[in-house]
Amino acid sequence: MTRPLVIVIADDHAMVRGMLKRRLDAEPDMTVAAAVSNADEALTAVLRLNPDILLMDIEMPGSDSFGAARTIRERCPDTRIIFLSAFFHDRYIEQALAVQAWGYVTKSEPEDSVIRAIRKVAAGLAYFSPQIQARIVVDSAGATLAHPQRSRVSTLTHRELEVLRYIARGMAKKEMARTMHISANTVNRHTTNLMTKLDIHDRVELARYAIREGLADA
Amino acid sequence: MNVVVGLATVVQYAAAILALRVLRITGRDPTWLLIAAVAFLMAIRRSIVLYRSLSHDAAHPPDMAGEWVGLAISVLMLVGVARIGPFFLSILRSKEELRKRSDALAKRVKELNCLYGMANLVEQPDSSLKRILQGTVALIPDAWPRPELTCARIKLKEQSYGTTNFEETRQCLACDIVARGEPVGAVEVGHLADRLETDEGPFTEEERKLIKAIAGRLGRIIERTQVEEERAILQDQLHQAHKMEAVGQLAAGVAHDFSNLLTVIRGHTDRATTLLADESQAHKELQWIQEATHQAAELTRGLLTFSRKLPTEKKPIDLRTVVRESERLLHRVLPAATELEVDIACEAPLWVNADQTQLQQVVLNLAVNARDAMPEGGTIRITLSPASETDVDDLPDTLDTAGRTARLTVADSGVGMTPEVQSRIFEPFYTTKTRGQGTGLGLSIVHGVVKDHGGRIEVQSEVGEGTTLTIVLPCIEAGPTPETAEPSTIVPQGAGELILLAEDDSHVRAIIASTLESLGYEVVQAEDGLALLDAFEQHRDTVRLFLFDADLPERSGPDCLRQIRQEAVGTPALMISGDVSLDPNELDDQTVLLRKPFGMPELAEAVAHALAADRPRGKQP
Repeated sequence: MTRPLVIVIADDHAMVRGMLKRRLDAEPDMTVAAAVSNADEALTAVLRLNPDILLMDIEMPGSDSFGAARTIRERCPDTRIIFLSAFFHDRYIEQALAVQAWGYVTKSEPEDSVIRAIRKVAAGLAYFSPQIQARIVVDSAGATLAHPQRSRVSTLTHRELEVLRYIARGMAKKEMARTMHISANTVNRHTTNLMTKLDIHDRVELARYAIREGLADA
Repeated sequence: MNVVVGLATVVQYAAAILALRVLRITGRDPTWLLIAAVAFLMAIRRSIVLYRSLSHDAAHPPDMAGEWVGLAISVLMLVGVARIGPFFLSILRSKEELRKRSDALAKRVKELNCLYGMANLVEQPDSSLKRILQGTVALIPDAWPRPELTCARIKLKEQSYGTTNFEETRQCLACDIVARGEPVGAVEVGHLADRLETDEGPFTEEERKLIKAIAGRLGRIIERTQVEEERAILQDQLHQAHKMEAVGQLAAGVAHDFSNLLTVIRGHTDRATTLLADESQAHKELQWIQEATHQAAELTRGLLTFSRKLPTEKKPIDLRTVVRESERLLHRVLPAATELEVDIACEAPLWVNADQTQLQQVVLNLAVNARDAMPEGGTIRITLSPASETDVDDLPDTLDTAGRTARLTVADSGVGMTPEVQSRIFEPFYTTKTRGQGTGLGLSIVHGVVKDHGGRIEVQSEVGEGTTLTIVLPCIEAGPTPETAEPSTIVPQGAGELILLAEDDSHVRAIIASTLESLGYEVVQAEDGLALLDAFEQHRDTVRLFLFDADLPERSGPDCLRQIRQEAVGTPALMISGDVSLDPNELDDQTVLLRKPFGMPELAEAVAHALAADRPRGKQP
């Protein structure tokens, strides 16, 4: 008899976690080694247990799930990650592919989808919905999502991004210039450029945009 | 002797006349009356003595010493009157001046009391404009010389505040109240009796200045009140807007938690369903729960989509989808008495370059406004159609459109709007709804979104007839490009053909393998060249296609292919490579180069094409 698949579940909702654990434990070829509530605990559990599959929710409080996934991929490459999410979101899928997740299951799919996904992934196949699968592109760097929606943020240069972050923190131009070791005129130029690129011409709106894009804390 | 008496008489008369003059100037002052009387009596006496002296009356012989004394007294009297008279007069004039000044001061005090009283009215903690105006009207009469005969009235737009007897006024002084450069009313002061007409008219310059000062002060009070009222309204609306934003965020959070709870409910229901016999009543009950859960999940998904705060991302979308999605959400927010009719008058897609969430928000906002305009219920009609050519002409020339436009209308049979309301509905914070019912931001957001999408919005409304809002948006030529297309699936076309897949990147291999399996093919995976050759050994009789990366570890793809070709001459192969220098002509006839990057639809097509090309020859081991 083959060894059952060792699975770690990470979901901040105790009921979802409990239900998944009960459901997966009921499968003869699966065993849930740990059910944790955040990405940090998931990382610890994976490093300790070296499971076959990590079933991880994307929207969890605390550390970023994708950051944890990246670390797991480096330090525990045998563990295959399947992401769980409340809904389809291109940015999530792009990031999931970037960290080489093997699957992406939404919570609105039937419960059996999770079991099917785990079995497929364990068998060396990826599990993405047919809609996502049709949009995956293979290139030299790996798999990505076809022509992902380009956020306007991606059009900003490194320096412009930095200025945007400082604007969101409410820093004055002179203060930015001192911090970045550049002249106030250069700060002005970066500000003008990023305003043009983002088509936002108000510092308050810029700050709000930065917070919304996750570039600064609210 | 006669000379002395004559001189004394003349001097005495002079003293008497001077005393009379002083008496007249002093306004018959009793002291001077007495002095003048004494002086005249003495002058008469002197005249009698002079007469006797001239007629040589023997009965009254002249008294030379007495006449000299009389002359001295007359001279003294004249000098005394001449010296004391002006002094006395100057005192009297000073008194008069003082009295006049005192009167003027009293008037100024009364005026200032009036203005001070107004200032006090403003400072009152419960001072409303109405109280200030009423208080001012009560203060005005006291600032005039005859308060009992003075009445006042302040008119402000349609309101009028006056003393009770104002209508009986015989003479009236008025001054406009000006606020923010516009006359908003007037202050009027009336007199119940005719006043003495002077050069200045019945009212003095001071009175005109006072009424002007009152009107000016009232103008400033009204301006300040208006500003304060506007600020209070704006603060209220801003607060409401913040509250709504918070509610939106809360809704998103709740929707997320609901989604998780629904996952649990559905999970357990699914599990319970499998444990029960299909025909049992409990099984049916569970199916109903499943159905309800499904609907709840759909609703939650809509809420999540709607309340997501994502930056604007325009892409080609079919307007029909926007309307259909909105219809789905609207059915849940409309009361039973409100009927929703949706008419999509076009079979072909109406492509616009737009942010779907924003356009959905536009439709929902308009429909919710329509709902609110029909408190007793009615019909909301949403119509979508290609627009006429005239609609195109009105759009900005710079738009990169196909010359076609789409027309979206939301009509209601509600209370309608007056022209004045219509002219203001797109102003931020303008609302006709009661406090707490609306932020006044909805239509301004709609206007902003429509403008941002290069379109325009029109309103047609009549009171009691309902309102129709029409949005015209520029269409784009083509449908979505592949980069923005809505996710579609790849149609399965395999029939269980075996494909040997060799790719060293396990993640990529898994994705390709799962795609091929979902297309109906059977896949055997190999992680390097040697594994590919091993797999070929095992499946040489059944393999229909080789799909491998050119750059495989252990043995390269071309090396493997050379070895494979020694036995499987005609089996088609797809070599994956990102190397642009690789010349496809160097490959054998049965091998096709699949260049990276490639999408899964391209892969599916390449595989299907390769297998189809091989089919006429039949299976070749």
